Amino acid sequence: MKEQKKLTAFEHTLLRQQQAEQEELEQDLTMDRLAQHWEGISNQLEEGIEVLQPTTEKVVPVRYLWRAIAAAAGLLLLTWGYHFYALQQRPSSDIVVVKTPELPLEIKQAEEASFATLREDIQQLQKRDTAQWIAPKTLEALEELEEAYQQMKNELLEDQNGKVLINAMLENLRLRHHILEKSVLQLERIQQHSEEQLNYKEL
Amino acid sequence: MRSNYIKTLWSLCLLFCCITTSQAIGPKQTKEKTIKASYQVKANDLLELSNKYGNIMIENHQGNSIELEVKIKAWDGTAKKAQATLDRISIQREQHGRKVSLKTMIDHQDPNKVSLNSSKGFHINYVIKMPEDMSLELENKFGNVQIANVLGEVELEVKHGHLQAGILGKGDLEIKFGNADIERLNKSSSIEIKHGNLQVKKATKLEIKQAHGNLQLGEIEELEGMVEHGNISIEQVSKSIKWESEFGNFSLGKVKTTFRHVKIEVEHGNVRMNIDKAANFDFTATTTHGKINHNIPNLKIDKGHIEESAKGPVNGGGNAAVDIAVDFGNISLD
Repeated sequence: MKEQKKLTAFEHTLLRQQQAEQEELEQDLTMDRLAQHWEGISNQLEEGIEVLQPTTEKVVPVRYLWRAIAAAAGLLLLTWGYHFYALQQRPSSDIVVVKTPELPLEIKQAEEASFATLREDIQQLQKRDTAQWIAPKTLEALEELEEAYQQMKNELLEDQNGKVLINAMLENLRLRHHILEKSVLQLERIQQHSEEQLNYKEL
Repeated sequence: MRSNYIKTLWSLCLLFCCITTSQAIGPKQTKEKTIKASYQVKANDLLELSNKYGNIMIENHQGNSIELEVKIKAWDGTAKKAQATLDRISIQREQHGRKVSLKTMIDHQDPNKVSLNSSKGFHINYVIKMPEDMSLELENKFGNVQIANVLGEVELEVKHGHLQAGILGKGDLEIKFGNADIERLNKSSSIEIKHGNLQVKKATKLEIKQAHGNLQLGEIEELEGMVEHGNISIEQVSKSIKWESEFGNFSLGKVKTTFRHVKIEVEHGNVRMNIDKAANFDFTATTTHGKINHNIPNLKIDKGHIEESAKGPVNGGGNAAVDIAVDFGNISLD
């Protein structure tokens, strides 16, 4: 047992010596590599070549990361602040959303029905009045009434005095129908008279 | 076309009924305000007045001032809303030099909230007292205008309402969608009227342009005008008349011996005229698609297929002349 212990102690001594020699060797090797690395950098600087980042993975310190985040947030805040300020400075009319005002449904329906028959009657008058006896003047009067109607429509939207304006608008539509009706009657009378005169001439 | 006309009239009547019914059903709260003011004026000063949605009444008084009273009434479903409507209406009043300006101002409401509810609305009525020796520039829409006497220059624009006036000075009047009834126009005046009837009892020199309405004139010295789609009835002309009309009959009650020139052109209408028996003048009349009837001695009528004409001196002729040309109508001289 004593011999085994002695051997073991000897082995331990040998092992310690080997470790010490290995550590010494490794230290020498590291020193050599470092010396070689610095020598390389020194050479590159001397040659004026830009120092390249080592290809090995770079560890960024946490304090630098925080600085970057803070800078980005600051920049973001500044941009947002500028836009908000610009928006406040813009005249209010620029940011008003313009909607197209609309007439009540009842008026729209009456308009549509009335305009449809007016269009139809105008076409009929133009078709029948080949000699242009009455159609041009009638159309002129109708155009004038349409202009007055559009003006009242605008006033209805702006002034909101419903009853007066709606009555006047209805009267305008009634007038247009009356003018067309009268024009057709006059045209019929003229045409009848012309035909009578023509027949008298032939006789 | 006739059935279309009747159909449309029915639909319009129905819509009108809807509006009036909604007025009857809906609750109505009213709010009123009265504006009173007084302005010192001199003879020939000008009153400038612009209004809509109400009547204007101008009366005369003996003082050297304009007395103004404007009554504004607004109504709506609630008192708050009626007040809001009332608050949008104001009268802009100014006096600069020899001019007094009064203008109704209505702030526009949100155009996206149009209501057909007839229990909502307003009117603005003016009552003005002023001396008659002033000038007047007046504009009114959707309301009647009643004026006593204004002897200076008068410029009126009345739309969608009737005009009733006493004695006016030099007038320039425009009336649309309404009738006009004027007692007298003292100086050279012009009237344009559309879609309404016109009556003037007396005028010195008058120019008229009328469409879609009848015309009734009293004693006029000098007259020039044009009417489309309306009948014309003139009581008496003493100096001259130059007239054109379409689609309407023309009737002149008496042309006095003092006249110088009568020139009438009518298309699609009859002409009836009475010239003083003692007057001497040169007469020319032609008509196509019509006949000529007269009681002038020794004046022959030439008859063609579609045309008739008569030409010659009356009572030996003279410096005065009567020219009548008609297309599609008869000429009658009483």
